[in-house]
Amino acid sequence: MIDAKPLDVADGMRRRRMHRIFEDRPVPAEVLGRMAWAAARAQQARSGVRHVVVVDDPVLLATARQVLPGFLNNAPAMLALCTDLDQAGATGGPRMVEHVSRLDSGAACAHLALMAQTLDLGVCTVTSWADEAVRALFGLPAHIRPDVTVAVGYVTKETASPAVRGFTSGLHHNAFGAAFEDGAR
Amino acid sequence: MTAADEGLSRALYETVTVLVCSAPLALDETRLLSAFRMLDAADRLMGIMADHDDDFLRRARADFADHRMLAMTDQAAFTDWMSRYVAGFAAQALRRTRAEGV
Repeated sequence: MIDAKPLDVADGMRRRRMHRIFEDRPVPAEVLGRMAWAAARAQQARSGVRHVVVVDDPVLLATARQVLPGFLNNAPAMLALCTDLDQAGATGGPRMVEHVSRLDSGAACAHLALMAQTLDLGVCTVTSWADEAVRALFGLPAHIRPDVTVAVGYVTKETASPAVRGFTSGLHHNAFGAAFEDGAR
Repeated sequence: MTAADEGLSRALYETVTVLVCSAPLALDETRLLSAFRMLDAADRLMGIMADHDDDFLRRARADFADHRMLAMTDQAAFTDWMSRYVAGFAAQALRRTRAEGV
């Protein structure tokens, strides 16, 4: 039985952040399964395009810290979100391969960042690596493209990174450059 | 080969792997991130040297730990910090070279 906390979605969005320091304890398989479910439930334009590799082998994780230069954390687990290029191409064409499937992987990352908070977990999305390294690490066949690796582990207030300040997004009203003012923020 | 030698060899091999696997990222990421990858590898090497009880390197590692996130959050500040970091290493290298009488 998984002990999950309720989460206000807006509060979860506000608290969302990347974690790079995790507690030194494993994440049970059933909890990782819950995270994998969250990733699988994210938008996917066509069936069978997304593949999720759940990683909790300490040897693989230790190697990841060498061959994935952006994987700078001590996470005891990882989810690798991948795209079946053949399936994407056959069902949606080149745009599905190069554009839509990457958006869908990003949506899965957002699901993971929210689901993690219900399980006392933290995540860190990492894309700074060469595809060939991820393929070699997890035995991905040529038609499976790694899109993003997500570090997963337990976090506490003590291990949490401070919130990053100063990141901005453009917000426009009806036309680019016209400010949108709704008073909600 | 002693156990210590084996440990050193393994740690160096891991850092070699980090450097090799970082190389292709230089083609796809910003120059600043390439600089970060080099400093990260240097930090790993300093970690391997931690047994040598070098106070300068210990402080250098702490300095990097305090500022590494700037590469993601404030690139200008990271660049400024990196300049000071390099200056510190250069000054230290000069002191050590003089001390060795070269």
